[in-house]
Amino acid sequence: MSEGRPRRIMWLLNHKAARRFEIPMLKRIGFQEIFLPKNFPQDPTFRSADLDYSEDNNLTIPASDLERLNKTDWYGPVSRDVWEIANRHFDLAFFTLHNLDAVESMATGFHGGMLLRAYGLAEGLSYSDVLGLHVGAYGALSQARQRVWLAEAYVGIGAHEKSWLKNHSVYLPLGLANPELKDKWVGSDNRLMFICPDIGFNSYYRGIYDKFRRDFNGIRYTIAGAQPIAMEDTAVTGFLSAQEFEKYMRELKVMFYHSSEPLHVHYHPFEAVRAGMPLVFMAGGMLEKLAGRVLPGQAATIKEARWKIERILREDRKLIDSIRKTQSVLLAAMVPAHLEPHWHEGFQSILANLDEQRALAAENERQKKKVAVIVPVGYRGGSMRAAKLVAEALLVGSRQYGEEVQVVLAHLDDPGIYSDREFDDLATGIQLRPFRWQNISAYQAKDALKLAQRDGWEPRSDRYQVPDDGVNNLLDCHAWVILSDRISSPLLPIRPRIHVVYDYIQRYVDIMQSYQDTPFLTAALDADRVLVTTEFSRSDAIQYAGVRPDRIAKVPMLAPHFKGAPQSAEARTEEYFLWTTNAAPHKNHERALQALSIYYGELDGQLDCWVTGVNSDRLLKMDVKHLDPARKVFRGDRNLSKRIRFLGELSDKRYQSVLGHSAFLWHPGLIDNGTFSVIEAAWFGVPSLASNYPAMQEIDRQFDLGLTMFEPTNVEKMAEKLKWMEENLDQSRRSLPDQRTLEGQNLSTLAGAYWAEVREWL
Amino acid sequence: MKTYGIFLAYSPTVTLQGEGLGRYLAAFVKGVMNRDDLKLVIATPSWLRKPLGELFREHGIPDAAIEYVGPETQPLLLTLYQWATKVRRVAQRRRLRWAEGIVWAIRTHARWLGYRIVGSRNPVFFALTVLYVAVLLLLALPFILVGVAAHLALRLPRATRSLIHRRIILQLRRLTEPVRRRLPKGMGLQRFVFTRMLEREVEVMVEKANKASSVTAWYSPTALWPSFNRLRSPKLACFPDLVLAEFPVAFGKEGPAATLRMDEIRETVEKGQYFVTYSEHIKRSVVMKALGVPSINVDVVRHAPSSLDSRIGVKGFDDNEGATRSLCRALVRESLSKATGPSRGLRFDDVRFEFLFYASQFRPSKNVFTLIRAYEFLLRKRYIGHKLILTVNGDIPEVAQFIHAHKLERDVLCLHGVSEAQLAALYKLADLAVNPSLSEGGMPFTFTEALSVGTPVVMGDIEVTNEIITDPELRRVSLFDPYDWRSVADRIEWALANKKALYALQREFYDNVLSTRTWDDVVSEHIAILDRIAKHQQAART
Repeated sequence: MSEGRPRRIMWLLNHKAARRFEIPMLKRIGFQEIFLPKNFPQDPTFRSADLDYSEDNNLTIPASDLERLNKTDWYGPVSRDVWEIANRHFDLAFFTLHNLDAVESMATGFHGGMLLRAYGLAEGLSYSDVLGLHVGAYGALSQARQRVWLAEAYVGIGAHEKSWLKNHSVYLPLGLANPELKDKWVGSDNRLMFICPDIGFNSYYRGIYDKFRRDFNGIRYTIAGAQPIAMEDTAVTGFLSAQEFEKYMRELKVMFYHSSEPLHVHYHPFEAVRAGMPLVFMAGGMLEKLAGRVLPGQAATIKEARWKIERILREDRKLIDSIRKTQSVLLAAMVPAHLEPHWHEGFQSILANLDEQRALAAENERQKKKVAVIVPVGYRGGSMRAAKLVAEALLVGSRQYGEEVQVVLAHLDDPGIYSDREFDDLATGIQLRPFRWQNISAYQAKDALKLAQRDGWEPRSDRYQVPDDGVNNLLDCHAWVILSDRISSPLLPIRPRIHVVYDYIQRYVDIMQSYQDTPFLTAALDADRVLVTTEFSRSDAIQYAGVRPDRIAKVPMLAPHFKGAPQSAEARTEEYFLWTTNAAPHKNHERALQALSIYYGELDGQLDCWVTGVNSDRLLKMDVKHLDPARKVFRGDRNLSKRIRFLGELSDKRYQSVLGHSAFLWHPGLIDNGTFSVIEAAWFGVPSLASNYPAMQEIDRQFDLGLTMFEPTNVEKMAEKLKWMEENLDQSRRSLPDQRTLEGQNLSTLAGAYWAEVREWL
Repeated sequence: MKTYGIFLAYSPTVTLQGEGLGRYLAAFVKGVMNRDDLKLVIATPSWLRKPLGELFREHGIPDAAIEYVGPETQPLLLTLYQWATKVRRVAQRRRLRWAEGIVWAIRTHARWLGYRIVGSRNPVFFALTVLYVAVLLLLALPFILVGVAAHLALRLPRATRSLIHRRIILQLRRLTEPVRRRLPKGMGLQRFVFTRMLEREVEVMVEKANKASSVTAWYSPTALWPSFNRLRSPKLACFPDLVLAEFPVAFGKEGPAATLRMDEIRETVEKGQYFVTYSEHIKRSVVMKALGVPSINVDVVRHAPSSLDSRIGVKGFDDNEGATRSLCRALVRESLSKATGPSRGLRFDDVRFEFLFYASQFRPSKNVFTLIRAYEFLLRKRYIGHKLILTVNGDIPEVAQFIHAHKLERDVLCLHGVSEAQLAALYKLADLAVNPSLSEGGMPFTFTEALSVGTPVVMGDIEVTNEIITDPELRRVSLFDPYDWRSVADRIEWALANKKALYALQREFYDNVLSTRTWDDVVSEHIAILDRIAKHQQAART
């Protein structure tokens, strides 16, 4: 019993043959309530899987909780809410390593005992090797190791492990549900039977099939086993129903079992022995171990196996009888009653400290958590504003969920970038932490993880980055949210890493050299989660960076809270429109100036153009190659110098004043993650004329801005649109949203979406 | 029971497995097997017997169904060459293992010695151990010096190493100059040897084939073998195409190999009599017009559809389609390790991205660069975010340079040497298959390969395709002007936006028209031609 209720187990596997033995065995040792998963991947490797609902009748948990568990896909990451249900009702969970994201999710979310069901792997491969492919899963299991066991189905599996799993092994032997001999063998069909599934797509079984055909060329044989991809070889039968399989074992002369894997054995040789069919098998494998001696059916070499099989096919009764008489000893090793004491013993050690460890895990979960929002480069302006907004969203969102978290905003420790006043507008309750990036070698990284009880991880890079805050490398924080993917080396995977990636402009505009973005893409690929704010960026994260869709979450765009009222109609001078820009290549300066040239020269444009933004006052004086064409256009048309005024970067207050007096805001950039300047303009009652690209369309939709849009690569159309805007300002203003509509998109409304994503990693 | 022969004269460098050629042969042979009244004989060089046997077994054709004519055992030189290649590969692996083994042994022994020394309390034992270490070091000194020299050499600036390397190569070239001078222009030593080996092999093949009097007529799947005309029985040579002549500048840049091939084709045609093509277009514009063969001596036998669904179609699950896609993702993930050129080494954790697919080698007629141009426009101007996957070899300098110049390293993936199952999986998972080829012998297999696994396709509007796709609406939605990258882009963009409708229309055509033709039909038509030409020859003799 546990906490005044019966002990319950989750058996998160779907292997039907194993289930037929293990569920009754669990009941024999006292577990009457067992949850079985109601789904499995539609994947050719799950040919031995099926669903079983019968145990639901024995579960005494609320129907709504059971329904939620039944609807859950246990072969992928499981949400925290579902683990909360599991934690309330279940003490233990059996699992496999089919999906390592699912394993990580369980290891971080489940408080009970976790039993990695080990049926054996190919020689040379260990469960530690498999886990080592996923630092998150291995790390999480390592940290929860007091509640983790390697439940070996055959003796010796654990001994081959290289890590702490070796000392956490427990023997829970696999047997046969009904091992009684049912000798109905007749042997009237003079063929050799061999089982080899998945030949069409599995290179392991393909190799076995090819070898079998070479070794037994000239002998009549039939090859059974499910073939999800049909085979043209007429000797391959494909899937056999239970009756057909029994018929084959009754009628065919002999079965050959090829495997000499020391730590794994299939079911079908036992099924053959149970049916009384002579079995010839290779030495060195599990069958030899189980037999305990050399049986007549055992062959040391393939030559010997063939010789024995040929004798059997020639009706050598002496050999046939000696094999059939002695091979039943293999079944003795599979009898449930003989194996039960091992299960009792195994569970005794599992349950010894389990309740205490569960309580510790639950306590740990209840501790107040800290999240670091890391600004990895010296962002200022809009990018820093975005970082502050994300930090505030996490704080507000966590409060809304009743799970208040501490938020730390970590920024580069460089007074040259950040003045004292830079963070004056940071929301109350958010800590500031300056840091520098520290590079460590792969060896140092491995040691660090080992010390953090995340051993088994193998570095993939020569060096790693870790934030050095002069305290403890931000390790007091339970998760790291990194604004952007701009890191130069992989981050040390010592905390869950969630990257907020705004765009992949380099896919569309020539702003970097080839492969220069490799570390950025690697950051996203290594991240536990990638947050994006537009569908366009989400698509690029999948298509360009190669991030798996299930690792990406789209969160709403956060706009700053603007203060102030829209300018009155009388206050507007309408002598100019405002162009906010900077020197980045994707800002489309050349075309913008060409369009302005047409607007003034051919379309009699009445409005001046005021340019503002970081370095905008030095835009055409900067010694930057990509600005050469724009400079040429500017110098070639005197109109432009008369009508364009370069204001440079303005303070917020001054900018808002300039904006408020303008006729409209102009955004002719090529492509990016969108600009919030159009939202700010709408707040102050100023319409915007913006380039038509996906992110701007999404901003327009989310904030209902009524943007007027144009094609940013056609300068004539750009100029025509400027003229249209000049002549239709009233119409444009009428399609603006009011401040109340914009308020509906405030941070408080949207914060929960950010917290919902981050909380899964705490 | 009539006996027909297939004549194959491929050199030792040609592989059959995984190539279209192999599939075509296997399909043809299976077609013959399905007839009770036919028997097949294959005249083949000795080195093709084993790969043919494996290819046919893979397609369910038993060994007993085929009779081979030609030398039975390989030339010893070829066996030696194959053995040396294998040994080199194995030795490389073993060298690594030996090296690892030696390093492990040294480390273990050093550790053991270290324990003995640091833990020793016995002065005599201590002294003996130290002496032992000193002796070992002395013995190891030469090896250490060699190792240091090698290490330093590797650290030499690349330019210096390259200079040394070039000097060595130059010296070797000087030494082998007398031999290389005697080789035909453009032919390396290996190719020269294999060509001579093939000639000798073919002599024996022809001799034995001419003795096989039961063969009614012979068929050759290509017109590249003038030796085919030395067979005495009636002969039918397949003439797929003459792209060499259609793209003279591009092929001319490849060197003498192209003109050599052209000479072989001309010789085969001039001394041959009967030919079969895959299309009317090739019959009329090439074989008749360019090569002067009268119409009566040229037949047209169109392809049967090339279907790939049996390679990946999973059965036995509640959701067979889901299981098939799951398998295909695993296969495509595997194939990503075959990325070449600019896309080599890129990291892909999974295959969840959408992509366009063009299965083709890099040849002048395949129009790869037009497709890449169209793709770049769609990506950067129309914001269609698909990747483009090609099966061209990205290591070919022209291909790599083009992709680099357009900064498409991450978006255009060159997966070279994919297996048939991987090819099927790529077609299956693609959003759209594209074929911008400018010239083919018959309608490209792309159409049926893609549709057979549920993927729509758009192709170049070329004559051979128009012979098959005659419906104006189907042409309008499926074809583009392959010379105009904008036309390619427009058609792709339209197809992606109207995938379901496009697929429905194309699939109807595939099911109701194309699939009604089978490889049995192809075989029957070939047999009918072979019968006819045999009767002709008989009549001419009498």
